[in-house]
Amino acid sequence: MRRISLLLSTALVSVGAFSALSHSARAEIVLVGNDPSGWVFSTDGFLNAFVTQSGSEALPAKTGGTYVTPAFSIGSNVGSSTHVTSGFVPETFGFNVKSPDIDGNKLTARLSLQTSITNPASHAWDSDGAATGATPGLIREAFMTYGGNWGEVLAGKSLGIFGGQAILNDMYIFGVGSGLNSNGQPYGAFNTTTGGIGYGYTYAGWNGNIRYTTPAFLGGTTKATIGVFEPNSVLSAVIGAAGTTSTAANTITASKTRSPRFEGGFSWAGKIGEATLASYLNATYQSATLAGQAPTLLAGTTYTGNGTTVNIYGGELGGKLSYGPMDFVAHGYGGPGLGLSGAQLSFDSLDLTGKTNTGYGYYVQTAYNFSEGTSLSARYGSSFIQQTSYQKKQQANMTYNMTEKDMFGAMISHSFNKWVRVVGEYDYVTNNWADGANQHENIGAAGIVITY
Amino acid sequence: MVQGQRRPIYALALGLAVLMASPPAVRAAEPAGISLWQARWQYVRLVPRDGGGPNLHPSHLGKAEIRSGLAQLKIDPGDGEAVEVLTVEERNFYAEQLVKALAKAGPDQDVVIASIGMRRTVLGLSEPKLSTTRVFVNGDGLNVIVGETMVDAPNDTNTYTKPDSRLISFADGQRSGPAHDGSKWVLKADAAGVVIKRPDWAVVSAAVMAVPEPGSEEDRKQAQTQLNDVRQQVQQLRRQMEDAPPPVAAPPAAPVQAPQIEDRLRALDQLKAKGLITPKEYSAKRQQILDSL
Repeated sequence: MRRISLLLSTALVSVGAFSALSHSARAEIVLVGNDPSGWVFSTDGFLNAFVTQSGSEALPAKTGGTYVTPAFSIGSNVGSSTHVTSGFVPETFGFNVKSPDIDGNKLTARLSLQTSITNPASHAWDSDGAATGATPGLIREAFMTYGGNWGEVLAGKSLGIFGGQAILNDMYIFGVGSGLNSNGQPYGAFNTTTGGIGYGYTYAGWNGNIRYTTPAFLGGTTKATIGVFEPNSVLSAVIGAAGTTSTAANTITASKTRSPRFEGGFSWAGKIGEATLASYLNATYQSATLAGQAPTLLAGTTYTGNGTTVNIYGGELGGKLSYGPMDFVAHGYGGPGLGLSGAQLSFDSLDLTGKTNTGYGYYVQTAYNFSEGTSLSARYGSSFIQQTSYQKKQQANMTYNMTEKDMFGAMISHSFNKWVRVVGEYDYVTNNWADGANQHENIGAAGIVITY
Repeated sequence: MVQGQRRPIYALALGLAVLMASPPAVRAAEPAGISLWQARWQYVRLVPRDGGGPNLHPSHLGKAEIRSGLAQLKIDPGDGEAVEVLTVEERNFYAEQLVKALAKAGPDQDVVIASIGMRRTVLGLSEPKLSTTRVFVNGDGLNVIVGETMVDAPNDTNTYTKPDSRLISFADGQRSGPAHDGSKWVLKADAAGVVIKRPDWAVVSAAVMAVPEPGSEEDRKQAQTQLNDVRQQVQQLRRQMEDAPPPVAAPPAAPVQAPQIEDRLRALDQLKAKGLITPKEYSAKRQQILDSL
């Protein structure tokens, strides 16, 4: 527990001491609209392709033992391989409408379409990923905003509040990060790598929501946001060796999500002397009711979860600071039910009896921006769970849950102009289990990223 | 949840307290002055005069005068190829906004404006570029001090690269000196009545503003009026030539102002260029104007 406090304190101190902001002043392409005060229809995009090389150790093994491998971990598909894939962000095309001033208010609408160049495990030519159940196309954003001096309402499908800023500050937005294996694309249903998700922050996801954001107060530095979100199902990890198929016996689900999830928080942004700071403090809460067939538990343990409501909540804080050519980022989170995987409220939020898994973690990142568009970044992130009493019993019976994941990464990028950059990165990933066993992975990637 | 599991939450709460305590030290890029209009990055504000003598505010310049004056301003971004400081659409926007703002401003207030104009980029597409100016009227005319010129308007749509609006600020033009040291761009003037006081500061005289912007509605109206006048004068000249009495020494004509003659010659040139008068009529009338000197 001292370690937990130390890590979080480190993150908190980091937030107070530094943060960062790189002004990404990249104009979107305007298709219609020349009047400075009129309607504008514009498009923007994010395109990337990487050559990746990854090599991972085998999973730990122990006679009679089972090592549980939750999602977003190195997994069993090990070995060395080289592939051409999309990076952390899928190929994204955005379309926007912005209104003129409407009695002091503004209206905007956005639709963004995502796809991937990744050819999943099927290795079929002209594949769209369907062979492995991957999604060939996504619509992550479809929302409108309406706002004025009273604040702004956003309604639709968009990046969540909780975890949202952590992912946007992550250097892997322009890179690859975790999520590679010998198939070049390990998590069948995903079109991208997983960046730093589960290695220092939880995934915000893209759910339907309605949120209100206040106008800036406290001298224009502070905003508050609260939103009501379509909830997620809440799951336990699949208890079994890596690759074990999910069944009613080895996993449980709180799928009766009859009430929405709430997310909200505060954000501060401004200047402190010559430095520029953007920080945030967010919270999330969701409840769900356990349902379904009782799982197979250890001898002497009876499942009584069905009908029970689980409550998942968490807090996070972080920030980004720029001072001269230096950028600093820090983020910390924690809460019951946040699990280890980073897939918020999914996969490993619960143990098999229905108790919530408290998850926590942090990441710190720094960048030095050289002149002429070159920058060098480094990042370290780690996520943890505290084992429940049932999981400790599992450990005594040689079923080992993963309790810690960490990743160190370094990245160099060079922007040729405001649209095109090339990126190279190296990552060292470690997954740790309750008995101290671990697994490592080395990842290298080089690619090109275009934003407009 | 066991008792020990609460510690991370306590740590986060502590962090909240730390962050909540920090706002007084934080200063946002909050704009000063009285906002008259704002839409995303664009704004029109009344701000305190930053030096110099009192302005001739409130001022009641017309839209056409403002458009005409601004149309004379060009800017050399550093490559020797001057372009318009403001696009046609921006000039129309300025005209709409400045008429109201200058009429509302007091002698100790300037108007600052940020506007986005669409400039051509790759593949013939348009890209929003933002410019800022400080504008005021004094005895010299309409003063325009450029702060930013054709900078990238922040992309507030792309989710992955969107900046925090609280951290973005643009420099308005200022009397004390250029907003940015070492800027390569320099203002240029298209008309004689525009004075470039500094690379970022231009003063447009009332005379220049009175000349309609080429191609504008006012320009067309004025050209039509001039055409009618010239037609009448040509008719009159023809009649005079037909009924011309023997030449006698003409009494000395009243001196005519040079600008008036220039205007008449320019109008005559335009009529000839448009093919509305014959070369013979042009020569005769031109000589008549020159004789009036």
